[in-house]
Order: sequence, then structure tokens, then C-alpha cells
Amino acid sequence: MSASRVRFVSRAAAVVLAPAEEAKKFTDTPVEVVASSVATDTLSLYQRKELTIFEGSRKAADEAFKRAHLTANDIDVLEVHDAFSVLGLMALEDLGFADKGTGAKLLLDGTCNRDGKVPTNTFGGLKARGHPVGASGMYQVAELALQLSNRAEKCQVRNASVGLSQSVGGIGSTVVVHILRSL
Amino acid sequence: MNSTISGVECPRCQWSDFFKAQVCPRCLTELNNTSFPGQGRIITFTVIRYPPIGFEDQAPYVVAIIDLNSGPRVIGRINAKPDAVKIGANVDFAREAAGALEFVLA
Repeated sequence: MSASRVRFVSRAAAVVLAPAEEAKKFTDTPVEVVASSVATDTLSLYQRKELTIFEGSRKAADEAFKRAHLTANDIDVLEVHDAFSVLGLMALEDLGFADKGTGAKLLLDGTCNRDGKVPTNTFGGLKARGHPVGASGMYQVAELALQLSNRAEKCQVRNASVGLSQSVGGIGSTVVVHILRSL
Repeated sequence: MNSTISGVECPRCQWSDFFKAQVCPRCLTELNNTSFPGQGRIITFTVIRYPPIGFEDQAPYVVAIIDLNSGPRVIGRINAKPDAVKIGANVDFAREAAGALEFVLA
């Protein structure tokens, strides 16, 4: 009904995991998982103090940045879970790339463009790719891996070495954040 | 209208909810039964125009998040025409119907 909502689709994505010290046996351009973090929030929206924040996003991002010894300033390419238009904007704010209420500015001023400071959803995100639900988080990681290994072709972000993905379950009741880095 | 909403309250950290939990999700203390005055204010709402199976004869209907004036935030139905419902409107609890709280515009 609403154009704000993503299309559910049937798709598949995959990555191959290996110990970092052995990864070079399989590829010349391995990508390291620097940090993975998951945080939860109440299932019901009414039990939350604020409706314009996903506390799960904030907690997962804070923890991932802490484990990786990195900040939002270090991220070269970003994948956010834009299952609805507003979720992408909320993610920019909750992950620390924009102040609360200013996420849309980053889209308008070009910050999220491929040649901007925080290239975001460089393969189109959930909106343009479609949302295969269980596979969407894996798509994000696979697309970041393509970026960080310089194999993103026409979507390639120049000199991308650190990427972050944010994946949402429920209405923010589960949020997963991964930080990846080219080895 | 003077209907009250039954719920639970934590004797230790004062967390409260209309949902009948046994243990406080915040501090794991056993909850006490209580009731809240039915007056509140609409924080946000949506209109269900494409209802799930079993609710076809009720659509369109309004589902709202409401801050009770003396109690927790709750979710419930507003028994009113969708066009008449506004964020910030005052509501009164009317009854519990099919497991949902039902409010009317004050």
C-alpha cells in the first residue's frame, strides 16, 4: 500500500568464512570480521520510552565500535537496514553518523553518495535490492566484502577499507552490527 | 467515564504495564497486581485498512499507543472514525474487548 515499504523477495547470498591466518589460501583479497554485536529491545513498541530511536541499534553499534576500537568516523562504507524509508534515516542517527533528527540531511547533502563521506547502501540497500528477510543481513555482508576487496565494479567506493552493516529484526527488537575490514 | 485498567506494578523499581506479567522484566522482582485510571493521551496511531484473517468485519479500525495520565504507556483500540483520531487527543478507557483495551475520544 505504502511506497515507504520494501518489497519482499526471494533471493540468496553467501560468504565463505575461514580463520584469518588461512584466508589467503582461498583468496588474494580476504576481508576480516573485526567485530560483531547483537542487541535486543522490547518486542512491543508501546513498552519503549522513545518511538523514534532503536535502542538496539545504539547498543549494538556502541558495542561493535568498542570491540573494534573504531568510531563512526572510521567507516568508509555503510550498509543499513532500510526496510522502510524511515528506518534508513533512523539508522544513520542511531549508529552515530548523524545527530537525532538530522539523518535526512546526509542524504540531501550527498554524504551518503558513493563519493560522499559515508557511502551508504552502495548496491541499493533493501529498497532497491528487495528484502529477502533472512538473507538480507548476509547480502549486506557480501556486498561490504565486495567493496572492501575492490570487486564492487560500477558501485565501487574508492579506497574503502572499513565497512559496517546494520541489520534489523522485528521493529528493532533485534539489531545486529558487523564491522568488516580489508586484510 | 471511570473505568480502570488492570495491570501490574513492580514494588521495587516501579516498572508497570497493563500486560499481565509475573516478574519485572527490568529487575526480576515479583510484580503486584494493580489498576490504573483510564484517562490518557494518544502518542501515535495507525489505521488498519487491510485486516488480518478474523478481523475483516472490523476494518478500518484504529490502533493507538497511549500514555495513561497516571500509569504506563499502553497499546489499544480507539473506538472512533479514523478521521476523528488525532495525535495528542485525550482518550478514556471504555472496556476490554477481545483481549484489547478499547478507548473512546474524551
